[in-house]
Amino acid sequence: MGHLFALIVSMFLLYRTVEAREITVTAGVDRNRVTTEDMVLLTITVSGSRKAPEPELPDLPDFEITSRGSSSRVQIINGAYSSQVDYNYLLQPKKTGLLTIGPATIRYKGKTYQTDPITLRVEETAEIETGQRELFITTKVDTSSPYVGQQVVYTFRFFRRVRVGNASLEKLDFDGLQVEDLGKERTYTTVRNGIRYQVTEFRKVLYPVHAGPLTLPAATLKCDVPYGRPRPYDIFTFGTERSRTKLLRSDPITLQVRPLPEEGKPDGFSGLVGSFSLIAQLGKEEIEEGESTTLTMTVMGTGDLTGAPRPEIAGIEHFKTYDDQPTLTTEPRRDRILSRKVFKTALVPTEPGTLTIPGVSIRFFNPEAGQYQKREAGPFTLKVRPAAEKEEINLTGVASAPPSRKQVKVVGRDILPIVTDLNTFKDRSFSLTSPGLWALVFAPPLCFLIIFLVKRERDRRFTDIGYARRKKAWIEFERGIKKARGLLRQGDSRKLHAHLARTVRAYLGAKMNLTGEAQTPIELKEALADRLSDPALPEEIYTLLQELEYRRFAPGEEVFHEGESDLARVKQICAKVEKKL
Amino acid sequence: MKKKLSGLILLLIVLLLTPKTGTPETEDPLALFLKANESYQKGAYETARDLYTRILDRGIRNGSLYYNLGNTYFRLGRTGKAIEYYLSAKEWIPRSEDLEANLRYAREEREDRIDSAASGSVLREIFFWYHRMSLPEMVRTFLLCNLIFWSAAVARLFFRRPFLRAVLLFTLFIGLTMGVTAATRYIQTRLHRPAVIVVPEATVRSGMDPESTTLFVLHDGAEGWVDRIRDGWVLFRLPSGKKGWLKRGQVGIVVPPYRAG
Repeated sequence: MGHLFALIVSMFLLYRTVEAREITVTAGVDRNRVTTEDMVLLTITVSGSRKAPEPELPDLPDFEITSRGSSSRVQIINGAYSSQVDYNYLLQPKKTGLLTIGPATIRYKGKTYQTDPITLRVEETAEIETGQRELFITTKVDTSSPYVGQQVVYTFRFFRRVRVGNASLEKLDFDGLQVEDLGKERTYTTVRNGIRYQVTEFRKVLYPVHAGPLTLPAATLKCDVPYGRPRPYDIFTFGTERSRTKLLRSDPITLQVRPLPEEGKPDGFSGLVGSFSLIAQLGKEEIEEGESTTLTMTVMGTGDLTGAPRPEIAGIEHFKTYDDQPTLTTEPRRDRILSRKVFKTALVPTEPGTLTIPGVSIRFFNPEAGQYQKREAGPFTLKVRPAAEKEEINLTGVASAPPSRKQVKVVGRDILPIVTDLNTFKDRSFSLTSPGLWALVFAPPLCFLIIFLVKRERDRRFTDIGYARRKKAWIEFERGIKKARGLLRQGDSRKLHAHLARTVRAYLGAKMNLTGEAQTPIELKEALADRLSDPALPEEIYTLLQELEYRRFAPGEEVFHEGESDLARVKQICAKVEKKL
Repeated sequence: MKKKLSGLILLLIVLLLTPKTGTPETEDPLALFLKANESYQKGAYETARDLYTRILDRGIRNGSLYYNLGNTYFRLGRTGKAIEYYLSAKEWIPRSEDLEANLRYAREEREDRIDSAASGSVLREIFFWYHRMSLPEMVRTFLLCNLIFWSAAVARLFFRRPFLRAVLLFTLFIGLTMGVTAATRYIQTRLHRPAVIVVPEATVRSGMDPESTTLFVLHDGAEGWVDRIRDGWVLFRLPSGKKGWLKRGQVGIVVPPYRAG
């Protein structure tokens, strides 16, 4: 206890001593010659106190700064205690040339500590062929001068021929554009300038909303590139590879978005841009007056159909029209998005006869052709039978129209008939006091119980020899007594006493699971004494066996006359054993 | 002496050869049933009623008999008695669609608007067999499961087959469900016996005395339960919980499908 107290006190004093010491602040970078694609790891180390505040960084207008957190460690070497805290920052150079990282400052216990300035040489990304770089990103569009509303396919590709980790792309902010994904991201291998690259690619479809110049921002991808071998004894990194963080940027793209030409622009043009086709179909070609038919119009092609208006049905007369809600589906197809919009209109003729539905049409601007185009479908002819015509036809039997269905009208009520089936006629009540009922309830579990007990007994006798012998001992004994009576009647004293002695020994042996007849009287006496609390009975058995042995070898009339009483005595003593053992 | 003996033997022979006249052929329940049905078909409803009742007096109980008797009473304009016998028939044949239709019709004919005594529909859906099975069916299913369960238990003592375990679990589940349901049904019908008003108008009183306060008046066909029978009076309770005393003769008590004695 005293030792523990001393240890705690000395640790505390040591801690106070360390805290009382002055701190040191140093700054370092992982390398001081970089390119604009590289990120520099700046580490400011504060030694001597774990309570010192975080350092204040100087103004760094030439860099973008990202904090990477801090780590601390404590060391005791040769009894000397030291603590250290590392503050890490990632710096992304914004320009080339000699850039200086000014001194970082810490104010602690009234004193100011500063790091030394660090100078970095930042060079342009190597003026070498793109195909020879280890990793780079590219972005491109399929057209740089689209019309307003035209599909523009934007493709991003990340080329690499070294392993990278933790790659993350900054969110692309396409302001002033409507954006849709074109398929899923895919990774493949390609050869560029004879060098094999792994490429990750994704595409988006952009729809410019306004005319005029539009800049797509540069894509920025950050990733870790491993270098060197893992430090074998660095227990904190667990042998993982060392890596440098790279920041890759693409060039921004400028689009010159053209307005839709005024020349040839239809009146009230909806602004639909793309390349489309129109299919129209009439549900039924012949109906009865009052019935309806559906005109289905499908517009499909490349272009945004979100705001596409319903195709015009010009000059429709003698019909009432009821428009259904259109359905729009899109699916990526090669390098374009294929859109499909289905419009349905229910047409109800207002008069019979052969009516004509004029054609339907859509107008759109085709950017590939650079002109306004029109697609048409129809006209359609619909035969409308007058409502009264059906009855006449039915009367003459020329044709049959489907019969009109009416609701069942209840004209009367009554109860349903009596039961006359004689099979159902017998007494079906049952008595709760019926012995048969209760026998059916209790007989099955009772039978189970009996079978269970019998089986258990049989299994025990089969597996437990001692138990089986004990159970059979008395039966065998009675059998022996019966035989002894026969010997008594024959008047053979030797045989009688020899048999009685054998029977008693066999009985006791079976009862105690001993090797019965081989036991001597003294052994049987001891075995019995171990199992019985009454000391008289083993003694009695011993005496009985001794006497039987004696009479077996002592011939004479007198001995024979005692045979009857010996038999009775054997029975009496063994019955006692049976009762107590 | 010899003459006397000869006379006695002759008398015995005559008695033995004479056909039985105490039980006429028409008293055979099946013959009565046929005749009652015939009377019903001919429109002789009172005759049919008497014949069906005579079958009941002979100790025959089954769903068809009660159903036919219900129909007969309905034809006689006794809606209450008809409902009483339809409800009795339902104790045997709960899934009969004809019975259900006739009972519904009879209930619509009665004067009092009384909500059905049925429990909540959700509970009816969950414990569907309670209303879809008769008590004898439940008991028979229980007995069958009991027999199969213990037979499978015996078989499992000798053969440890997986299907025997499945049989044990299945029959245990079904058997216990049926046993508990049958016991619940029995206790419920013993404590609260379904009953119907069988007279055109019945005055429900606060006590077992014709002079006691009139609580409310019920009409032919009103359904409820009899909670107690005492001195020629019954304590009648409506589904709404209102209760009072009625004369025994004004109420028809639904016959359970078992004989307790």
